[in-house]
Amino acid sequence: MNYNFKSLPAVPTAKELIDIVLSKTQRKTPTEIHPQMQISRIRKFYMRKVKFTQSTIEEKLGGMLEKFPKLDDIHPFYADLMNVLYDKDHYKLALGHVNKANHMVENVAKDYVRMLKYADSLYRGKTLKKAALGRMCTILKKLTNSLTYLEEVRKHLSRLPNIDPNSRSLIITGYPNVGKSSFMNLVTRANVEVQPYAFTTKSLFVGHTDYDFIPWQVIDTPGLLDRPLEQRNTVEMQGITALAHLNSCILFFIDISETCTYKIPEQIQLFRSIQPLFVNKPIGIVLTKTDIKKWEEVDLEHRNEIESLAAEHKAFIAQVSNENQDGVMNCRNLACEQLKAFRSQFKSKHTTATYTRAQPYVAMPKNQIEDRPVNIPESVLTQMQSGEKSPFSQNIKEMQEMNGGAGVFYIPPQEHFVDLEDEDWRYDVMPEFFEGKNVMDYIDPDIMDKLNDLEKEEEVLDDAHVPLDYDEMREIYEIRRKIFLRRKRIQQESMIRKGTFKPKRKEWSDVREGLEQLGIDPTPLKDKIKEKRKREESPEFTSNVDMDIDGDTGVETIKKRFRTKSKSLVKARKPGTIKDNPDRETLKHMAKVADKKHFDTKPKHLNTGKSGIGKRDYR
Amino acid sequence: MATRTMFENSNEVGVFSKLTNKYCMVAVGGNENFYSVFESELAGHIPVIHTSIAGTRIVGRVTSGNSNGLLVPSITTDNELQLLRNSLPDSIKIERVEERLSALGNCIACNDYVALIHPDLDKETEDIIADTLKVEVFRTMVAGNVLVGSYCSLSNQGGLVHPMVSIEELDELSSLLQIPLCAGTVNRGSDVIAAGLVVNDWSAFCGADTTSTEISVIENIFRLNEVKQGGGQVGVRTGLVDNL
Repeated sequence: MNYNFKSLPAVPTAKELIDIVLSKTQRKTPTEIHPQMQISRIRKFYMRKVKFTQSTIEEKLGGMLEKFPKLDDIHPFYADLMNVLYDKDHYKLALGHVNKANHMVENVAKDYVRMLKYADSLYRGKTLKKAALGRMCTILKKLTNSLTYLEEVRKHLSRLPNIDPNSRSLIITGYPNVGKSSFMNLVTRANVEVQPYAFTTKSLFVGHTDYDFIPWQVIDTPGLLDRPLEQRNTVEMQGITALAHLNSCILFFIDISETCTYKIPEQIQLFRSIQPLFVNKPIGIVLTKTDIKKWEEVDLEHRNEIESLAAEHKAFIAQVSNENQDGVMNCRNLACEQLKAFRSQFKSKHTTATYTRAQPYVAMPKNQIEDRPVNIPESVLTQMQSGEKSPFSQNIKEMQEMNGGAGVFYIPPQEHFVDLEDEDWRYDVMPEFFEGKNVMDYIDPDIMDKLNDLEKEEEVLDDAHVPLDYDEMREIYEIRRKIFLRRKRIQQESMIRKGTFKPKRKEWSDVREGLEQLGIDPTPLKDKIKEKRKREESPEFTSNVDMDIDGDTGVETIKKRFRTKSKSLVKARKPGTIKDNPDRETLKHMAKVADKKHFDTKPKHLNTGKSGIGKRDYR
Repeated sequence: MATRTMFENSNEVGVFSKLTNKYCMVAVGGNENFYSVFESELAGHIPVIHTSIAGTRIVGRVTSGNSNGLLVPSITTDNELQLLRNSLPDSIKIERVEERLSALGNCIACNDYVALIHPDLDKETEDIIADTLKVEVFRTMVAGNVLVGSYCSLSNQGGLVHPMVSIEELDELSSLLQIPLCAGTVNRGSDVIAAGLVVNDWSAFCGADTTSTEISVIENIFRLNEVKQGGGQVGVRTGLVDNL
């Protein structure tokens, strides 16, 4: 919320208000009316005038009520300050009065509009209107005192210092004439009047100072006398409200030279009597006019008393001389530091979780298992501690400029070589290829060691060599052969069971050889085989086979029996639906016929109706 | 102190340089401005060398290394390998890795003790990493990205990772790495942390676009100011807090 009361609109006096309202009615509503006009029009004419006047008044008074601060809604500091300055009751009464007048005007307008509905002539209407406006003006006239008061309040409000109650502020307080305003003038750019008599400052003043890159407001208050609250005057009360309601750092000024005519014990007594206002606020005790009397010259008794007072309230003590500006800035810095620490502590305690989350999250390792030291060279550490620049002075950019600039200059890679056994080797040329071979492929510093290792390994193997036992080998061979044959037989048997076994057709030459070796004549067998083959290929043989299940035909079936059957999802066409091996044309025709749909070319509902010569495109 | 710099009008300084606690490799450029920035900070402490890998300048993205060793991809030529061997101290083991993912810098993020690697790297490569760099190896992702080397930057004192990483993931990575971690950006909001920032235990170099807020995060998480100044920014920060 912004507490700038400068924008309050000026409050007119009652008389001015009446003039404004009536002239506005005259200007903004129609003025011409004749007796011969329709009576309803005449009524409307006057009703409009009455209503318009009422709404203008409402606008004016309502605006006033809205703009003036409501004491219950604003910050307690301002509420209290206004109470001190303008008297809360009086202020509320004045606003209440305005509000009541507003309602009364509204009622008058309502009554007269109702009566105007029954007006039977121009004259009657005119009289009613006159009466209505007259009564409204009378009501406004009664507001004279309240409006004058409100105008005064407005003028004063607009001159109040613009104090932000929520911002960081330092409040200066103490007896009159102890140097509060002088301090204010030194710390801020405010130009507060300084005079050598009591109560020069009669109201609150605000100034701004910058510390730690943020602005701080410094509030100068009128001097306080040590007396009970009821006896305090308006001037003092302003200071009290500031002390009571602003969250700030309090700077209590004590004049140790006692030239302000108040003794140190009196000033301490004042501190004690207004101390209830300092609860939960950082406090500083400022000892002023040290140019006249040094802190060391003050009576020991008083010094102890002030110190114990400071210790009691956790206050800091600052010595200040406004005359030669000793310690002024130090005092301000101390106060700002205290308040900042106080506020940040308060905020971190009281703000919501979102605020805390807005800071970056740093994950810390849960349980540090082992010690992992950082790896910073000794030279870096010593340099960091001494804060010196590196002793290394040669700058590569200078070298670059000296040797032809960017693009021309380059450092030969050999410059970077370290740990060379012999410095002369640095620029030795090493070929990439030598006699057609990549030199790198042959570089191996450990090649001799590896060779030795290999040879050793070989020797060990040679020593361990044992001659083979052939009988044993044969035995193993026999066992393996048996296993092989057995496995083969099982395989063949299973293939026969499944019907997938296709015995290899033996060549006749092999058969004959075998038979001749056994001493059997192979000729009869040959004839037999020939006859059998002939029979297998003849059609009579195929027709006898009763295997026609899926429409497969004879010879095919028998041939296929020897192959594993591959399964197809497409069913074979039933025999007879199409002639065997149909030609291209037939197939094409069949496809056409299958997809063709013949629609009704002359549907009745589209071709009957009464559309005459057919001008319309719908029926 | 983090230093802002640029490689020939590019802010991706991590692409063109590799910084460890024992050595620093810088790409060969048209001029020596980039090199001189590293030289002025590091020379006298560790070797700063000009390097190319397979004739390219993107040395930071294709190599991976720490105080114990250096891994270069299989595309490195024999000559380059020889130059590296001669330019780096003998205590640094150099190994050429036969790996399909040849941008090792993008696939491996490591400090002197731990390495996070791309989940798809070969088993052999993992062994080489563990042996050469003498690190514990973990296959992980960072904020859903497999290119762990691109999206985080680590030193022995702290680490900065991709800004979209969740708090749980951050905690997990932190306990793997045993260092404090923080999510952040470089180069005015770039999430490719390792491209915009190279860091070791006492110095850091970032792109010239990096904002002062980003720099302050970098300096705090990598503890770059600790030896020099004992955390001098506290005052300003409480002032900022007060303004919130």
